[in-house]
Amino acid sequence: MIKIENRRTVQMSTTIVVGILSVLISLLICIIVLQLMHYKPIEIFSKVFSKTYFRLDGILENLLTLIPISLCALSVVIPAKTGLWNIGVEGQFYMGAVGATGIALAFPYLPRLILIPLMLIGGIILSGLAGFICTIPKIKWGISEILTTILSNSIIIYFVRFLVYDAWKDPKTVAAQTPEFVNAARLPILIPDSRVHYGFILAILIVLGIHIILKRTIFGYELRLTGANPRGAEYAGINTKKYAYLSMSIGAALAGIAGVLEVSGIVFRLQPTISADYGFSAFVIAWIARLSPIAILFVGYMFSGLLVAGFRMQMMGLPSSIVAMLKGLILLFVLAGEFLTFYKFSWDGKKKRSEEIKKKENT
Amino acid sequence: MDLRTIVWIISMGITAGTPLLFSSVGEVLTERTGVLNLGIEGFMLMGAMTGFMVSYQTGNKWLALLVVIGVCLVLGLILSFILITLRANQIAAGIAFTIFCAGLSTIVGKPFIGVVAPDTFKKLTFSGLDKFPLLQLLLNKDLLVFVAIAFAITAWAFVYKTKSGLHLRAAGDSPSTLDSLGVNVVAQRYIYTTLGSILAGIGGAYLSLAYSPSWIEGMAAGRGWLTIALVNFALWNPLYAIGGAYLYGIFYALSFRIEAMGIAIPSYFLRMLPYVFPIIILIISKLKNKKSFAPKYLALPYIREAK
Amino acid sequence: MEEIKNVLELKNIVKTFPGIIANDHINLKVKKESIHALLGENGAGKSTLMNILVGLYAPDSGDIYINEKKVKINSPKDSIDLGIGMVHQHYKLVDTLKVAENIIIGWDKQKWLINSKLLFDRITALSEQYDLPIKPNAIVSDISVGEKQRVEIIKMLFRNVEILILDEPTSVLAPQECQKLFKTLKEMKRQGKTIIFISHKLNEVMDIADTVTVLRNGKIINTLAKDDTNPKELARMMIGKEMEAIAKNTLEDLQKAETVLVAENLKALGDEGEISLNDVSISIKKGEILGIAGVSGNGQKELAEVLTGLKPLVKGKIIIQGKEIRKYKAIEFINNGISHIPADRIGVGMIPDFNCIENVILRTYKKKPIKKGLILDIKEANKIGEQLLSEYDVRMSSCYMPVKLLSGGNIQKLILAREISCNPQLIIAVHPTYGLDVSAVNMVHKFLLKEQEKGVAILLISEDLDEILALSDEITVMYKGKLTQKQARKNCSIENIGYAMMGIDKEIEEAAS
Repeated sequence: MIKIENRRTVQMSTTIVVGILSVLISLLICIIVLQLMHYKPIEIFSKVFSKTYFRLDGILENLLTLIPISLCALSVVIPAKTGLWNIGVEGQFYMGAVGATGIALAFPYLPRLILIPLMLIGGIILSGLAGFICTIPKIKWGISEILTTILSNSIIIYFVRFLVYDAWKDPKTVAAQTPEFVNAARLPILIPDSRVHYGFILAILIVLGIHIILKRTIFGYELRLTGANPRGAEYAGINTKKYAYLSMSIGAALAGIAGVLEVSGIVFRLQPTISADYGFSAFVIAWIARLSPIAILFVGYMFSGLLVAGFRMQMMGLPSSIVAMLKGLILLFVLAGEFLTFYKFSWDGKKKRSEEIKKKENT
Repeated sequence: MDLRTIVWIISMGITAGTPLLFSSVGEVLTERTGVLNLGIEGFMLMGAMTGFMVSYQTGNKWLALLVVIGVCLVLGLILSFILITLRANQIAAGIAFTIFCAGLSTIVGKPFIGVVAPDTFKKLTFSGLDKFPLLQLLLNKDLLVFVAIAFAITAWAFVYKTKSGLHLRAAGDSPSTLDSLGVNVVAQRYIYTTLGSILAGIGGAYLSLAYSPSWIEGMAAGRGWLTIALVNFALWNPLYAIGGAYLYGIFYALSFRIEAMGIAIPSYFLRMLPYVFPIIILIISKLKNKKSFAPKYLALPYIREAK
Repeated sequence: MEEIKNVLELKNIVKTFPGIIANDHINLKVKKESIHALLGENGAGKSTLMNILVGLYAPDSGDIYINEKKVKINSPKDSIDLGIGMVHQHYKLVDTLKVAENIIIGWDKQKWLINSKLLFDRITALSEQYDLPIKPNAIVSDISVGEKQRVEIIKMLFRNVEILILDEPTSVLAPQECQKLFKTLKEMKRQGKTIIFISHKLNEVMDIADTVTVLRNGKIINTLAKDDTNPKELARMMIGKEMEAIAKNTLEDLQKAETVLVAENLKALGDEGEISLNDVSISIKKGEILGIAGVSGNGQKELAEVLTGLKPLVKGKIIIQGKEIRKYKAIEFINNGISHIPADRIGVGMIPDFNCIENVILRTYKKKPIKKGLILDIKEANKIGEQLLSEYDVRMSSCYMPVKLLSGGNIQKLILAREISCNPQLIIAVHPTYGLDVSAVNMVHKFLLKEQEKGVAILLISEDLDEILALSDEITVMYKGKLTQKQARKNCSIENIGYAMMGIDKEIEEAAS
């Protein structure tokens, strides 16, 4: 008889194998679906993926997309370390962009060295506030942050539309956007002949910084304790409420920074479409990377490649939402596969097992 | 504001709230057995797209509904397998599933964007009501509206007055008790999770076959997430879900109407209302009543052998 | 036709879990219409064996015979169909449902539509037949622990079980309630039922059982008729060796000792908003062990939480060494020398997924040398942690393994190591030996007494009367959020404590009669 049994130790190798298998099976399913709809998936996939991962211009685009992706993924990770779910990354991203845009439009005459930090501060304050507000119902009244953050996305999107169609609308065009930023509000390019801007350095520093803070500081230790067992953490004297507010606000602010970098590094104006669904991608990536900042860089890079590939595919006739399908499928398989890391199927080897244990006792 | 306007708003609210009524009743049943289904948004999208596609290609709305039920049955079973048997993290898996459905529904539904469906659910007319125009305004709804209400009331009676309802409640509040008395907890969870998925799909189909009727990308527009909030708000009681769904519908309808009434609030802020109100009402109800009505074992997998 | 003597027989039952053999070739015969006790200390394998009998676990090998016919029990449904029912140690009731609804869950003769009146009548009839008073329309979360037990028993009788298994039924009862239970069981035996009684308490087993089977480390040691044995022999079979007696010294001059903690007129709310502490006042001196007896659920948990800063006070004040506590946060109490050994070892006392070192330094990580400015010095943490773990003899395969894999006794040793190593003035120990085997219990008591000799005050909150009587200098009883008058240990009798546990004021009763 096949039974389900707990594994005593979690094995790293299983995790990696599950990850790779998930990607392969998901790709297969997507190929089948596209084939059934009379697209030519294999041809296009191979062209696009080789260009994305193996050619310089593809790699540079990936690095560019890695900036918002890694920051947004961290935005999920930090609250998760205290046991909170941040599903409002999309909205917080936009709030960051709104903050930066507001400052950029209000102070176009300031020099770059002052303007850009101000934009960052503006974005951080607005997005951090959004995260903080979503946490209040949870701490005070026990209302799940899952609800508040998900609903906040919709609310913020309408707010952005208001700004872009109404309050801050660019009078020069009919398009839904604000006026362009002045030069001082734009981030300079880091790698010549590409779009990779200085925001890349900031992003990498933040990722590494967070990794160190979590592992080696008292703050990081107490943060992790709060998430691992909130009652135990309280019993140890930790102010869990403080950490809950902090982690969510910091997480939201990270998404906000991603938003700031997007408008000041790439788009140079506020639009309702600057996020290529970074919010939910962030969630998927954070999970697959098992909430580790360093792993996020690698998994994030792979996913940025996917996103970039998605745009290219669209230009070649494949619908870009195939990427959404792929993302969802990969995460589903990884989650399903997690089962194998904690449990295993065993055959009727129990008779053998009790004899084994008896042997150990007698020696 | 005169009586006619008020009745009109309520009437619009009922129609607008119907998709949410379907999905809320479904999710109440699912969550009562202890499963948190965050794939509702995905099921609504798939229901809307599939319903429209089949109706367009076959010209038969009943066949479309049937196919919607079939598709959501299969998808629901798959999701149940992942959530219940494989014990995957229910929140992450639900979100992943929704992302997948969003992509799938967009891709498969591409050819049908902006097309007119030949066969949709039309409003019923009751001839005897000509003398009561207001009542007529209220009751001139399509069949599915009444089906939704009937479903909600039946679900309420089912949960509170029958043996199966008892088992349903026990599965979420104390699965080990139910197990020790010989009832299969896993089967309960499978049944109601799948049923909840089907109902969400029907709610989505209502959007594309009766409410709009049409198909556009991302048609559900966050209604799936709202369902989760509404279930909390309804204290996991199918009867209260009626109130919650229609309240949402009223806010939704109001947001359009207020503009037309010439009040100078930009419409964008009004559109936010339906997403803000459930939180506010949840806070108010928590302030009054400290007890939590949530099923005690919500989102926790049931494992029999503890070691 | 021969009369069937053995209503139940287990042949060669084996059950293993990863790393241990819980049931090692168990052979057991239970006579019809008898009260058969399964005696053994915590962890001996009694509950596992019974869980196999009710279909919750599947045995690795072995056979079960009911009324001398071989049967297969694959699920709880099978076992109920065969007439076997169990009242588990942790009650299997759905708190949000009514008593009557709990009784009929899963009952296959229940019609689809529930007929409340019919149900009420049938339950009341059973309740009167066996003298088990219950309220069918009450919600389970509102009824007392004793009443819950009666509901569980009626739940089984409702399904016409012939063999009723009770797992440690007296752990939550006052002595007088125990006697009532035993009377009920004897009446059930008279009416033709067979009772299997699981316990680790010798005296009870000698009181109620006809036959006793002793288990130790998963094996059956012996099965004897009660009249053929005595407590000393049973104890030796249960534990396998002579147990050293614990020497307790009461510090001299307890009267002259300094007061460590005074709590005045404490009022606090429970988790659902009800009043759980109602005007509680206590004081403890240095080197004193104050024991609070009482069935859990009368405010003990809330008292411990309030005295360690985990719960806010509605009214009242707490004064530690003359200083009144202003901010009711856990950190305030920790900094004032209060240590806490919580009732919920795993849920509150530890971080289950973190490793042993990370858990044992939870009280010392904010001080040097582990804390260096903002940084956590991992090397120092490991050094100090390893030292503590070996000092308190915590057995683990590696100090980097997750703490949730440790056995109950070792977890408690870890918690003691942590709480004692920060040199507290007062240790609040709540149910510190719950679920531990005898050697672990002794070890915990030894550590506590060692601290007492150093002058540390100990507040011992426990349901185990034997423990309270063995360790305390003064005893008080908690009932419905109030404490009785403190009595010196030598002035206490089990009987009076028992009455206090049930909330009966003996003097008023005598005056009334």
